[in-house]
Amino acid sequence: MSKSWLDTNTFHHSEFGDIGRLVELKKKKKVKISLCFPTLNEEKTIAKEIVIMRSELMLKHPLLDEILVIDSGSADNTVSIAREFGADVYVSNDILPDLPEQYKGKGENLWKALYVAKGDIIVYIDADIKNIHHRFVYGLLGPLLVKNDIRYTKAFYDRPISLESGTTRPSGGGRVTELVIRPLFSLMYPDLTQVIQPLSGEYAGYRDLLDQLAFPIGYGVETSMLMDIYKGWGLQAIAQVDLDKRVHRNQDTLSLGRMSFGIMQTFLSRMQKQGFVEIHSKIYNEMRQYRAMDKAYKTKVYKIKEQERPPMATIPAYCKKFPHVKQPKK
Amino acid sequence: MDLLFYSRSKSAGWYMTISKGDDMLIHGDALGKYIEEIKAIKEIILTNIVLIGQTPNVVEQTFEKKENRRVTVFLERLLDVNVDECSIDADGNPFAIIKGSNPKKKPIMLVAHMDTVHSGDSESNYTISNNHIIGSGLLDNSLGVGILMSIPSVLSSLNISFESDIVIVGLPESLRESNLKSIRDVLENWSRPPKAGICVEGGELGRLSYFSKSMIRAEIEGTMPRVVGGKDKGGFNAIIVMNEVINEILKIRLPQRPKTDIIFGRLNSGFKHGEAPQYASLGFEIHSDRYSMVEELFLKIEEICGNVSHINNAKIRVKKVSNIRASHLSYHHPLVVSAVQVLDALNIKPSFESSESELSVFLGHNIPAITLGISQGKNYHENDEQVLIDSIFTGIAQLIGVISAIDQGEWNE
Repeated sequence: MSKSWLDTNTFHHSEFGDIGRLVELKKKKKVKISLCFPTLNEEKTIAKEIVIMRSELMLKHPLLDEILVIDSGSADNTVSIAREFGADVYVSNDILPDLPEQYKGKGENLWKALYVAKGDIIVYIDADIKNIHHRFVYGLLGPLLVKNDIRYTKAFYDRPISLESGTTRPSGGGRVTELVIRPLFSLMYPDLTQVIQPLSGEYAGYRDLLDQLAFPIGYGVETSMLMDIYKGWGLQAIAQVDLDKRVHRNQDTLSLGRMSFGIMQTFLSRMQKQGFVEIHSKIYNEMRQYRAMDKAYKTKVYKIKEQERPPMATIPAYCKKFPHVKQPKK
Repeated sequence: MDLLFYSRSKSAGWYMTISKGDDMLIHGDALGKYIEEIKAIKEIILTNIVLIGQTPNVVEQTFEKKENRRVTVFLERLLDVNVDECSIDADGNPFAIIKGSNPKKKPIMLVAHMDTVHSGDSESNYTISNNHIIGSGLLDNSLGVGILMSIPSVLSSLNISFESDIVIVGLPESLRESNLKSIRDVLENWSRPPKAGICVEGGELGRLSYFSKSMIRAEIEGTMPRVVGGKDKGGFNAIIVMNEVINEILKIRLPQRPKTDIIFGRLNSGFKHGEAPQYASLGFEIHSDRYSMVEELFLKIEEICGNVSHINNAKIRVKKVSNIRASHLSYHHPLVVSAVQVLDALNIKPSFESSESELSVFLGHNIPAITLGISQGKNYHENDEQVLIDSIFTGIAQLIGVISAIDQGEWNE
């Protein structure tokens, strides 16, 4: 296990609070930066996210070149509000419409963002953050612009703070991270256990890395990204950034159970692909949950299909639009 | 419509010159254009409102120092824009200065109270919808503070500069027991008395306050004799005793002149439906055009509390929280006249109301001042206060118009 990674590649957003310096580095590197919000029914939070990012990182400091909203077909006013506040809004199904299948999920939106975004760096931020602040974006961009070897950054929140000499308070991820992902990483990828919140929905990376990755459509996209980047580029290409506190919608245990199912599905499939394990029995794609009702237990079955987009660099339309794209390693 | 400023007021020896020669300094058309240009930086303005409003106005002890988070955000945001000075005074009030071109001119001071009626110890999260901002403490007064923080960006986008220094001051200690401490400290210690003050309040657009009534704000606290063994289900009841106090106060005959009023504003008591409370408190204000009347009524209320206390064997005391002496500008004061004309040019109907807040302290220091509202809203003091976004830009244009009038106007007493 690379013991030094936690020390060398863990940052705090305040280290990059001089946004003017980041703008200078961006110019020097001659890169464009796109911010992408994947959305589905986020009318309560999306306007605030766009307003703050446009104000701080476009009008006051030209760090971002564009703000994209990739929507999965919201039934509320997400799309009209996002347009009203100046984002470039795309409905996911309208992007690459000639693909044989269209999926609905966060991973699909993130993957399709690569096709419509102009940036050399893409920042992905969840659209349900109630305490949104521009530190979420400049914090993630900091290591990518300051450190040449870092190609992908991942957010974490609420860093353990030493209260007195020798004492710390516990911190880490949410329930799914601590009950599912960290045990799995501890078993098979101990290096990746140093990623404090592997499931955080905020990350950024260079296009030439992101377009080499396959994107699961559903819950597993964060997990697979980490596993694939670790395998293909090594731990040193990854950094994590403490963004302080994040307030978002809380999910009930049953929802988290379904999320865990999707993540384990992706994890097992990656393990097979990377040659760690061979699974000889059938893997089911149904998650069963139970509820007590009138002295009986009712079963509810959720079909959670493992769907995945291939690396964007393998899509001909993308290669045509971005002619310098490298073909992914097999 | 062109804005026609009076060149001279006949009242009480005040005079003001707004036009220089034949040149009109502010036109209604110009104010209308301001609105559109201010809208171009809508995101910066909304961000200031949201970021300050979501930050609690509480003092926190860190390892090294005591820090008010809202004050820190206020300063950080102003340091990030083009101001000439930005600091915090010895009493903890944050301020920024935009230097004017004429150092001989007295500064114009813009203030907004930073505390809200909410407890302030927890973060709130605002929502922005198509044309509203929603959240607690917005109208009174996170909106006002956010607008102050946006003034440097607004002036820069409008490409406006003034001869006078513009001093922007946040006031973290104003409401309730704070008794306007911040503005009192600022005006007591500011090296150059300002030429005029503008108190910025979130709501409502059209509000124009230029006078303060005399006021005593007080709290009546009633404590019943302690019951041995814990709860009392049928004995002394602080709510009933406080009700007696209220009934007695309501019997006081209030004069029509000077205009006088007693307002009951807060009532707290009890824990459970089935348990007689031992403690109750009642917050009230006495308002009058004459301070002696306010004092006289306060003494009467003290007397009432003494009597009710004696009859019920309870401990009832009246605590004065703050007091203000009536002060006012003349309606014909050039500052009021120009503010009315700016509102008129923007097709806003002025609403004249007294203000017993920062305005009274300015006027008490003989500094001409007014209070202006910025936008329209609803659900005042609820957790889901709403502010209309479109009106904010008109409210800011109004503010810029009045600052311009003060900057160019000359008055002597």
